[in-house]
Amino acid sequence: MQNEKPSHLKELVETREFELNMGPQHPATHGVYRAILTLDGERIQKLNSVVGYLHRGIEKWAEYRTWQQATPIFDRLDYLSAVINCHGYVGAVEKLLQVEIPKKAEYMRVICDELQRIASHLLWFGTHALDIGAMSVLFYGVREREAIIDLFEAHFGQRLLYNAYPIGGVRLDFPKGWIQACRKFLNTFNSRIDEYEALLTENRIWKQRTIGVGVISKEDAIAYGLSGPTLRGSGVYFDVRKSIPYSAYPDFDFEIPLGKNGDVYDRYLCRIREMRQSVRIINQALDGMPEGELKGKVPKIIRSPQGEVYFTVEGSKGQLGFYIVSDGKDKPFRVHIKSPSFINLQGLDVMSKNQLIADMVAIIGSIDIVLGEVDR
Amino acid sequence: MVEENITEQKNKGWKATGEEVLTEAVSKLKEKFGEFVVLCPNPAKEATVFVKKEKIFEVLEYLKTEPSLRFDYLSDLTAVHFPDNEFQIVVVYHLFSIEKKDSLRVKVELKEGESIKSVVSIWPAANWMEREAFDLLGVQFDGHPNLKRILLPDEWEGHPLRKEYPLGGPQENEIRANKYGKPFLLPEDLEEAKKIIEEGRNAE
Amino acid sequence: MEKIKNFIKMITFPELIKGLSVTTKYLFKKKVTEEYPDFKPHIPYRAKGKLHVQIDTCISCRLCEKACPEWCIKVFPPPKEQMKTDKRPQEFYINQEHCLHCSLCVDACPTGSIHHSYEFELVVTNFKELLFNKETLPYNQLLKQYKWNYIENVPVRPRTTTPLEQKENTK
Repeated sequence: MQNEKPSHLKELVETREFELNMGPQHPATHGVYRAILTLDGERIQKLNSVVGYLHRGIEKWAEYRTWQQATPIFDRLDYLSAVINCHGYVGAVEKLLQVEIPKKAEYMRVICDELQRIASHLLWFGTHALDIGAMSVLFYGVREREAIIDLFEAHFGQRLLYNAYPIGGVRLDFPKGWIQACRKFLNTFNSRIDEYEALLTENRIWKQRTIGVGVISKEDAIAYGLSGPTLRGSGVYFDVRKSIPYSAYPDFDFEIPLGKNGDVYDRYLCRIREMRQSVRIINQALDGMPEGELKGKVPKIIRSPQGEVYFTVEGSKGQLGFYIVSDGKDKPFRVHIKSPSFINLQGLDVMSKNQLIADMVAIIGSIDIVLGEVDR
Repeated sequence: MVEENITEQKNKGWKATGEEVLTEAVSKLKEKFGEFVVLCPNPAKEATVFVKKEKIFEVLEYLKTEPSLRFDYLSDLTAVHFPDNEFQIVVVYHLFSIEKKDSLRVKVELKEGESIKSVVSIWPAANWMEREAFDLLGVQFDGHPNLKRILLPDEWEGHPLRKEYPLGGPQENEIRANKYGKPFLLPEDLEEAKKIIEEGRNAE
Repeated sequence: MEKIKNFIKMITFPELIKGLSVTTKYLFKKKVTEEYPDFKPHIPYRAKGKLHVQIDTCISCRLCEKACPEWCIKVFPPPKEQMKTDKRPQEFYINQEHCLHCSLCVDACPTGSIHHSYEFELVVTNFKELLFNKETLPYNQLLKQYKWNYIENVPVRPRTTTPLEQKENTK
């Protein structure tokens, strides 16, 4: 092109690729995430992600703490689902120590995990809709989340980062009247989801903004290692609660909602249906709550056997894995966190190919990233 | 050859306890690759194998493409640093088969400065995981499309998850030398503490 | 038929009316918003506020110091001769700036002396104000404010997690 001498007119109509910087301080990226977009007109040709603005070295931090001391830091990974993060780490240590956890503690863990999943999805639901342009949904989502946080505050004593479980079980039983309050919330919650769906699911603006946007095929989704609702939106049946059962999940009867096309709308539907399934699980757990001990037999100063262990839980964003190597001392030798948001963000490149810049916000919202978990 | 290496590792302090687990995938690997694959004990009864570095790419490709195994999902890829061993870096692959619901851990030992073939061509998911392992532990992956730092800034020096790297960073000792600069504002002796409390009160 | 139905749907906006009806329903309902500084929140029984130590029952065993993941507690035990008769610490420091409110120290304490208070407002102008010693602990300030008259009214956190309390309960 440079050798040719362009005419005046040719120079005017010449097109070239344009680089646009999105973030790191962009309201729709839900944190400090930077995307360098290569554009052809309005269409995205290539996406370069820059992450790491929130890197705190949690894995290194944990190597300098004892097994029990390291628990509170993992709440700070995905700060919207602190209970599930804590369950992941504590479960990994219990698997390494071969501790048997009492049935009652497992049921209580399942209840708290599922409540946390609902709370996390509700915040996603509000902010995702806000990104696309539906303002009022955020207020409804946050209102319901507040009710869950109040329940957690009554049980754990804190509102966001709970340090929920000690190694071996749970700290305290549910306080008096908590189960009734939880049931009261669940009874109203199903009708509340109907209200949310009335606002969005059939809305034609919502459908036009989301259907056919950010499509990722089944094969690509598996190859790029996506997990959670982002993977299930493409129609892949993979949920850690069913595929690699842990805790008390095999006791409960629930379904895994799947999407068909793998677009933003399908991921939205998956999460909405997942909330209904979570309500089902909690109801079953409250009904079948056994009596018994709260904590298994764990020595006060924990020394683990030498070896390694990989334990995964179904976090609200996807498969959350903890790989722990122990050299037989009172501290972990190495803790590695497989964070779902980090891996899911990799798929953004595929999803956003040939999409409009305006849809970029919808796609980022639909994979539901939390930058605390991406950067660790 | 590989068995020798592992016994060496055992002698140098770190030794996996527990029992060896023989699943279908492990026995098939053992059948096909023979001495290149060594079983590894695990306390939590997870199927684990050591694979010799030369054959690792073939083994992983076989695990993905073999129709009776189909480990199509790379769950996790990371590395561990053992400063006292001859083989300092151990790269760990966690594979999962969505169809068969079977999981397998594959480990490779590397000497200091050795590189390993990248698996991005088998699982695109490995792209960022390998970048992370390079960033935090300094493992070199051959044939990676874009092997740059991911979590840390490009101009960062050192690899923080290696054991010789101090918790507070390279400047840790300078910070410690500073009187109140110790990362945690806690007085060592009573006099110092009283001074801080006074200052706090005066600020009010 | 299908086409006519779709056409009617297209021009009558049923889904928008459905959505708007939800919004209008809440227009006439009571607000759920609570404005914090004017409205004092209800604090549940198990709430974790600033750490408080009951110096009278503390035995200077330093288990809380070892349990803390952020190393924000420092205990100065009394001299050895005094330790035989009076185990109360010479000085006790808590750095609230680094406290994670994880209650691992509460779990570790054998006598239940250390516990969370209901004081949760941590806004200060100088970070050095967040270092507390045994005179400036949250409830001590409260007690001084009330001139020691209302000790019974000061809420004290339950000590259900400590072994001593459990023993007492079983008796």
